[in-house]
Amino acid sequence: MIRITAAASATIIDAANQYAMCIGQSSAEIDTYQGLNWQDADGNLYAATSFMVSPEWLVAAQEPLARPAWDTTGFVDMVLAEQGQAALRFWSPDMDTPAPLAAPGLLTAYANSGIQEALAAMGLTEVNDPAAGEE
Amino acid sequence: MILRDVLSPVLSNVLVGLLGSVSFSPAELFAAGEPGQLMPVDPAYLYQDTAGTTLVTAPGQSVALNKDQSGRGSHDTQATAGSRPIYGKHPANGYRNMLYGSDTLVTQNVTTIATQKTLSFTGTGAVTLTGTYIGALVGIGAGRTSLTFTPTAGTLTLTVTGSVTLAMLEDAAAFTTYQRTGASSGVAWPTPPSYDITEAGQPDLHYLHYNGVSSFMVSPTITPGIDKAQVFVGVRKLSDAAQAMLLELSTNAGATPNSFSLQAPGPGTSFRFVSGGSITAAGIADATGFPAPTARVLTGISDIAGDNATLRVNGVQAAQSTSDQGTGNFLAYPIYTGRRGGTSLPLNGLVYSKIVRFGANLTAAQIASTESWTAQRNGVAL
Repeated sequence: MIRITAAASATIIDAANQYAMCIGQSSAEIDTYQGLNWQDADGNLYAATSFMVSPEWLVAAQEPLARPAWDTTGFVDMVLAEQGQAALRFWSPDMDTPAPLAAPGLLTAYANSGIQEALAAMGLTEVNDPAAGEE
Repeated sequence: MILRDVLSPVLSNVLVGLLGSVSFSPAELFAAGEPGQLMPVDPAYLYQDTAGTTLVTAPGQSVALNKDQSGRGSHDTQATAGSRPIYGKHPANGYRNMLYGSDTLVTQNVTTIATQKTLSFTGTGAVTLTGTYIGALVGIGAGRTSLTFTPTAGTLTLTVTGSVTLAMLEDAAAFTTYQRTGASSGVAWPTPPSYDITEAGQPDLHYLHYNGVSSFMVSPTITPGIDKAQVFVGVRKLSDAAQAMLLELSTNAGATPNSFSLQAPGPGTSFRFVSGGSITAAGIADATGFPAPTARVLTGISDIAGDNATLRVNGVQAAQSTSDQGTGNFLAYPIYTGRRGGTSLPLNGLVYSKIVRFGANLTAAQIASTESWTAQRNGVAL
C-alpha cells in the first residue's frame, strides 16, 4: 500500500471532490476534501486528506476517466471530475522532478512522503492556531 | 493458627482485588439502558464497509464501521474512504522499532531527532547511514550486530546491501528484544512505522490511527436524556502542533449548548475537557504539561446541574472546573471522534478504546475499574 497526501486549493474543491468520486467507491467520496484548514504563504486556503491506496489504484487515478461502475444515476459531474484530474500535480520521492508546491487552482498530491512532511513540503501550514484556545 | 489469622484478611483482599479486576466489564455501565458508546478497538467489531459485511482482517486496513458494544447500537461510521482511520496493533510494552519491513530490511528513510539510537540486525549484509548520521554497520551472520550513535535532527537514510534481517532501530543505548514490523504506514515517527508491529511474549494492543488531517468517525444522533456524562478514552497523543478534537458531542461544543468535548491536545501540551449546559462551554478543565508523544487514560466527568467538569489523567484528577454550566440535559447530537464536526481540529493520535456514557454519576470504584479496563487497552500503568 502507498500513502497519498493531497491538498486541494479552495478554488477547485468541487472539481477535486468530483474527481475523488470518479476514482472512488461511492458518492460518499464527495466529502473527501472538507474543511479549508491549510494555507500557503500567501494565505490561500486548502483542504487536505491522507489515505492508503494500492499501486493499481494510483495508476488508474492518472488514466483517462470513465464514469464509475457504482454511478448508475449520473451522479458524478464528469466535466468537473476531469477538471479535477487536470489540476492534479502528482509527485513521488522516486521521481526526478522537484516536489511541486501547492498553489491556487491545483490539486497537489505526494506519495510516500509522510503526512505532515508532505504538507510542509507543499508549503502549507495549519490554519488552526494552537494558541487560539478553541473551546 | 496465628499466621493464618494474620494472612487471611490480606489474602482475601488480594483475591477480591484480583476477582474484582477480572470480573469487571464496562458493559455494566450500560446495564440500565444508559445511552452512549462502548468501543474497545477490536478487529472483531471493525468493518471495511459501512454496511458491516466485510470485517477488518489485517492491520493497515481502513475502518468504515466500528460497532458499538453498549447495546444501544451507536456505531461509529465513516463513509468517505479518505477520511477513515486505519486499524493497527503494537505490543503491550509499546513500539520501539523505528523501521518498517524489519524481517528483511530494504533501503528507507527515518525521521530522527538528536537522541541516542541503536541500530541492530542479523545477516551478512550491511547498512550504510547517511543524512543525519554518517556511518555503516556490517553484518556478522546469524549473530546480532549493533551500532550505537546519535544523529542530528532530520532525515536519516539507511541504505541496505545484501541480506539484512531482523533489523531494529531504537532510542536506546543498546539493542533490546526484537520487534517485528510489517509494511510501511507511510507516516513519520513517532507514529508507528508500520500498522503491524509484534514482539514475542507480548500481547497485542489494538488501535485506530487518526491521521491529523482527514480521518474521523461519527455516531448516529444520541439522545442522552440526562445532564450527566462520563467519558473514558485510551489514547496516544502523537502531536501538539495544533489543538485537536479527540471526541465531541455536537459539531462544536464551544458554540453549542448542552454538549461537551475532549481534546488532545487542548492549548499547548494539555488535554482539555469542556462541558456546558445552557451556558455553553462554561466548564473547561485543562490538564497541562503532557507533551506528545504520550499514552494516557483520559476520563472526563460532566454534571451540568452539579457544575462539575473534571478531567482525570491516568486515574488521577488533573483538572476541574466548578463554573456554573447552567441548566438542562445534554442534547441529542452525534458524537464525532477525531475531528470537529468532520471538518476541523483533526486528531493526530492512536485511540485504543472509547466509552461515552450518559447516566448517573459513577462511584469512585466504578471509575477506577473503568480506568483500569481502559489502561489495559493502551498499555498504560496506573
